[in-house]
Amino acid sequence: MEELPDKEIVIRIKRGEIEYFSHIVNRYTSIILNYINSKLFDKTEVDDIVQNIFLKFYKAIDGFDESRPVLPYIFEIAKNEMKMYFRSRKKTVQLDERIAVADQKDFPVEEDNIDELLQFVNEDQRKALKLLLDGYSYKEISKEINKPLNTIRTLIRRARLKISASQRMKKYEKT
Amino acid sequence: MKKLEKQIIRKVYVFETKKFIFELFSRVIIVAGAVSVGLFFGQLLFTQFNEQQTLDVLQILNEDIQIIKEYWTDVISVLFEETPKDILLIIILSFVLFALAILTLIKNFEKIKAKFISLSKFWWHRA
Repeated sequence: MEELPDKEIVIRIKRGEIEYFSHIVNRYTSIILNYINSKLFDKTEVDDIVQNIFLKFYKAIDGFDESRPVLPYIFEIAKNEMKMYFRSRKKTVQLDERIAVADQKDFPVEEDNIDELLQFVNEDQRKALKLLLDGYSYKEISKEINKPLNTIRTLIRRARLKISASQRMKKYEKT
Repeated sequence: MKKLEKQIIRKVYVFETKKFIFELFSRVIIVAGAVSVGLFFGQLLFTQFNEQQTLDVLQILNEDIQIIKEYWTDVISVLFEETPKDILLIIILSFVLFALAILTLIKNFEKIKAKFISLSKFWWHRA
């Protein structure tokens, strides 16, 4: 195949001559591959990422201004692809679980103290709190009690408020 | 390295083939839909005109050119008044859709042809 400048190749691809895309691939795969390799520890996904980068470039080629250089544009795609890759790999904790963990931190209860504390709350709140202390998530509690998730949140919040108020009262009475 | 390049090229061709087939089918469906809707409502309009004997006003065309010159605006206004507007609108819309589809096809014909040749070459060599 003849050696063509990038601009000419892009024009031809835009005209529908897809086979010219192989010039772009042959020219820049090694550069992009090295770049991705330098950024990633997990080498198993490098090939997939490189493939996606070139596919994205191909998809964008109709709107690509052929007077611009190709390589910086591909690098821009590569950077975005890497961002997306790292974002997708970020460990996430479900919101409900976070709330539950935070609740358990804000709500330190000793095992023998539980029943005493639970006498300050009503039946529904007691059920929800007991399940929460047993390690159930909010979603699981809502299924178990058969009430909407937001109701469970409200029940638990109100129960916490009641209990902390009663504890404060106790401390005040002692002093 | 070569393997990766081949995989990239293959991925691009698979994407382009799917896109090409989708566009082809959607264009065929648009053209066929516009033609069938246009024909159906055209037939309906024609039947209605026959029932109303609206087309009788066109007999003026058999008259002398002077008479035609004098009365053609009347003929057109009669035709317009007696035409069911909703059906006419549907016919015009389907015609516009049809014309747009054909015009874009003509405009992009070279590109579509080149793509078709590239795709068929690629898949033919692989077969």
